[in-house]
Amino acid sequence: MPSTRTRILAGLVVCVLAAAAVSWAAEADVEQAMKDLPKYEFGQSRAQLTLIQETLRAAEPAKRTDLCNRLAALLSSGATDAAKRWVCRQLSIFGTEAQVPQLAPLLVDEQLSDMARYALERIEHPSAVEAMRKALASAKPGQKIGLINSLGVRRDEKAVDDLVKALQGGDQPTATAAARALAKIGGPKAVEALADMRTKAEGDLLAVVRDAYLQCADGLLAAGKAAQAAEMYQQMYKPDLPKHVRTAALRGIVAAGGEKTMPLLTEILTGNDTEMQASALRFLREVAGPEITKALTDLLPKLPPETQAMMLADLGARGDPAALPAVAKAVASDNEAVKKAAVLALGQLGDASTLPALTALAAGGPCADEARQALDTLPAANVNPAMIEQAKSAEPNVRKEVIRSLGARGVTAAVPVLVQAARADDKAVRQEAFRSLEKLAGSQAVPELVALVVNPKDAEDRPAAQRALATVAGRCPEKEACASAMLAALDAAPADAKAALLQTLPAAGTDKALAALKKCVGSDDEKVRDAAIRSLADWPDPAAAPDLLAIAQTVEKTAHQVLALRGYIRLAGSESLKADQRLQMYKDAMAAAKRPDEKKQVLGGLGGVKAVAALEMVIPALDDAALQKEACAAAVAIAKNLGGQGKPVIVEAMKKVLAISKDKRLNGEAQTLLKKAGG
Amino acid sequence: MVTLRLTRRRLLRAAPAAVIVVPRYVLGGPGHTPPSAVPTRATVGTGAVGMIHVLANTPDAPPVQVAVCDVDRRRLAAAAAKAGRGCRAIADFRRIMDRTDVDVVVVATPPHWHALVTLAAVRAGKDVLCEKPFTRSIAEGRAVADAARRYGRVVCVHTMGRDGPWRTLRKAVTAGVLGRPLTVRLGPASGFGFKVRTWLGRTDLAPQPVPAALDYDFWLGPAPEQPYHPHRVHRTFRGYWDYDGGGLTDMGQHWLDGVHYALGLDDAGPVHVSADGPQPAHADAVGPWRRAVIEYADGTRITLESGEAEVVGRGGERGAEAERYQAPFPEKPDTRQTPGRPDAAPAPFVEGPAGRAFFDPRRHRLTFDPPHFGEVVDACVEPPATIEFPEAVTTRSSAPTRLPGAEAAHRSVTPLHLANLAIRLGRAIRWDPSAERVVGDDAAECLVNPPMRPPWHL
Repeated sequence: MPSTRTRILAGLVVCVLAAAAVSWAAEADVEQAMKDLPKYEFGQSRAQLTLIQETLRAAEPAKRTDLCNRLAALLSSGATDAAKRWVCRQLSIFGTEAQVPQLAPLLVDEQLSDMARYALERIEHPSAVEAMRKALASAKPGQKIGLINSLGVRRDEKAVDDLVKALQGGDQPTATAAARALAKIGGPKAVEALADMRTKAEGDLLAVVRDAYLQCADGLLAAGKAAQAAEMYQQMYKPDLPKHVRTAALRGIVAAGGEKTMPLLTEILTGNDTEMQASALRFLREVAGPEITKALTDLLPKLPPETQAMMLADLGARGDPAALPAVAKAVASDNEAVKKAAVLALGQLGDASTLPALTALAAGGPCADEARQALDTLPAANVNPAMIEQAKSAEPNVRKEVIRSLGARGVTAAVPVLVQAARADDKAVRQEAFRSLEKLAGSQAVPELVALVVNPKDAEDRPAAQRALATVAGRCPEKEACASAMLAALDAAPADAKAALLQTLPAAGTDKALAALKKCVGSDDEKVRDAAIRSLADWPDPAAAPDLLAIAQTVEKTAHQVLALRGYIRLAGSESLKADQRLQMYKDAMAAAKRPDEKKQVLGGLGGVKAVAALEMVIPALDDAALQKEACAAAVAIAKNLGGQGKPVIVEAMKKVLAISKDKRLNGEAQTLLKKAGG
Repeated sequence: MVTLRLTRRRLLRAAPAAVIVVPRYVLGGPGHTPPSAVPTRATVGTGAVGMIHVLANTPDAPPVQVAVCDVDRRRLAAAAAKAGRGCRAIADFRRIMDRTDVDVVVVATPPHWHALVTLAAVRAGKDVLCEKPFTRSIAEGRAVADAARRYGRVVCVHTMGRDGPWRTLRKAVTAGVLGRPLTVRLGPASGFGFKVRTWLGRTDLAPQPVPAALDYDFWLGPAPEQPYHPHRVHRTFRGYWDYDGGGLTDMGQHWLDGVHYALGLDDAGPVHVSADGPQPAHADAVGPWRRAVIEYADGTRITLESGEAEVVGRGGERGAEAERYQAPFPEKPDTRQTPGRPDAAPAPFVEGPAGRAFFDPRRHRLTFDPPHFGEVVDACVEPPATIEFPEAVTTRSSAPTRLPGAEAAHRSVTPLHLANLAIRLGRAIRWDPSAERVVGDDAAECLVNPPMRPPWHL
């Protein structure tokens, strides 16, 4: 009897041999694919090509190089063009300098020049670029253009002399390609050649040369050679050049800076070419610097109103507070467009000193909307404390605007003041306070919010207080503390207040809160009972489900029956429940449902259950005319996710769907499912 | 942002009657453009979507649609007939760029042409409305965005727009209503379809004769030479990597652009993209996929779901044998409501620590959980007002446009391109959004800037 050790060793040997056998088999498949590859034609199966590709992808570097070499060898064989094209595509992804010698001759091949270039353009080795450069001399015009393009992509500086010759040659398409390539490569020779051609080229070539020249200038600017770039841009900002070229040159002039920039901008901004003015201001946004801001603010009052309005917008966008005095002055303008633009700009540049002006404007008038927007965006750090002060005691129209803005600005430090404002004499102030509290308050404010629900300044405020409390409780992680505060006030609260508090309990969602709700379901007071059932129906987890079902099964009032059942059905969809629990709940719900709407809701939920039993539950509904549409959708949705289980049930269900459904898409899916299930 | 002109015109659907149509070139340079001027347009690509953009000129007004262009003579003739008097039919889009009577170029070609036509238009001083997806490769998007900025051109991409639920979401996100970080789910369960099966490529295409009316070489343009088959061109080109990226980019740019806008990601990009599709992916034909996950440095995570429970070929094959998945007849996307939940798709669209948002694709609006967050969001600060493409063209205003501009559109299609790279290569991609380079994966970096057939280049 072999020892344990012997048996283990034997097992290991078997495993190794089996793995080797699998590997040898895979190798054999690849070898076969390599043998068949030279005969490949378009339209044939690519399965073997895919196998080779995957082998390349998964191979270690040495093995990959070996495979690439073997593929490259096919390029000079009698393999089909289709095979060679495919090889070039693979080499463009996986190739290395080792395959350059095989690819290079194809650069002047009638059929394969482009594909060879595909590969060489992407092989990151000087030999690939060199091969393309050398091929220029013997390439035909179409091939030459492709080579020039690739040399441009590779930024081949050694090709510049050849490219300059091509640029200056008489063939326009070749010259065009050369101009683009020189633009990508850049450098003094490229710039000089393009500058020269600007005076000689015509038509399409001239447009390309100008663009290339601008691109070279951009390259110099990016390399920190602003003065040289500026000189080039100035050459392109001539009145006889097309407007879009001058626009591009203007952008460069602005970006490069220099002593000529502001005089030019002044000329444009005080002129009447509104398109260039808009462009100039847009480009100025990309350039920081106090001297630009000063130049613009000095210019502002001299401009016509339309241009002033544009510039104010751009001063705001620049965000340099040095512009604030000029912008504040413009708020007093008689021109409405200028005034509005100035108000908006204040919102981007202002500080606490601008609050009085903005709050006064926000309280009413033609710029109220802009002023509100500005209040919400005021950037400075001293603004929030100043706003909080105003929220305490300003005149009501101003106070409500400030309170609104504190909410929009997210100033949580304002919460204590907002709580006080929720009891202000002015109704609009109170309403804004509740809205802002809803956004800002945290768990510390819950007791005060509870107090506001129970005892608001005015009973009309209770809904807003209730909403704020619910939102805050929903947001707070300290659920038990929130619930405790609510429950502490619940028993003693009068009916209206109690009803409102009950509707906030789902937001807390604790066991004690649920217990309180359940207790109130049996209340003698109709309002309290109604609120308790509504809240139970909104409960966030399945803990409320048994009570909801009991209510749905026993309560007489239809509204409560429907609410409870809908809540129950909603909870049946909870992801925390297992499939069999959900199924049971849907079954109970279907039995309790008296109206089609709730039955449809059940069917909708069943559609998400991946179980044969769910499909079995849906089938009877397919016979009910009132439910057929939803039942069909649910049946198909379930069947799609059964993964081959329950085929007889699928067949039964899909046949019924096909018999009754008029939805073409659904029927197509049902047909497919029926076929898969063997029907 | 105060605009120069206070009048708005809905150019794309405007009736040109009763307005003075004056090409802007007449009014360029010193002087003001009359408020009633309507920019003239040329449409390049007159297939199904392109024809929507072709306007019918009215007999008693100067033409607005001054040129149409297509490489298929039949389509070109149909487009010219629709436009009517005053519209030239042109076979080569470069001749449109020469014309001084064209203000706006509408690009409705297949995506492998979008960047080249847009670049030509921008460099010729035209404004551009380009169909989505914006580009076929990431490098194309960067080139176009840079050119648009250089020349101060208005370039917008024709997505569904950044209004309605996207604007609502932006308000909510900017105000922090849902908290951070955010998880976004885009798929049929949350109300978004991707037309995955509609745009599957075919893997058994035997070469066919080129129709006489089609200039196939021009149609291919920068794409590698491949034998002609009708399924590769016109309606179904989206199923081939050489021309497009399937449903992921087709519908994906609609959804992801809205998400980028709402989450303040217009200048940002992901740092990690993974995707789950049948492996190995076919080298030529776009196949089905199940899920893509796009992750950003700020913790935002966007999951795209195709709704395909299994990723299989039509013959039931999986994985390496799924080579023969055939493209079915085009179907409508699956964006149905879940019965019993009429107000929203069943799964949350955006989820944060403080709350969730659901999307209602029928009413095109958001609802929230908790429900009253809707009122909270209503009261939040409004984002800057947007203007329409025609107004941006006529006023040159810097106000944001409702349709994404070139930079934003490039940023929102880039994650989709990366997801397709992850599918094609069978592995996750790490991305440097500042340098716009793949990190540590030479093969993936190769696919960021595919070479072009001459004479075409960026």
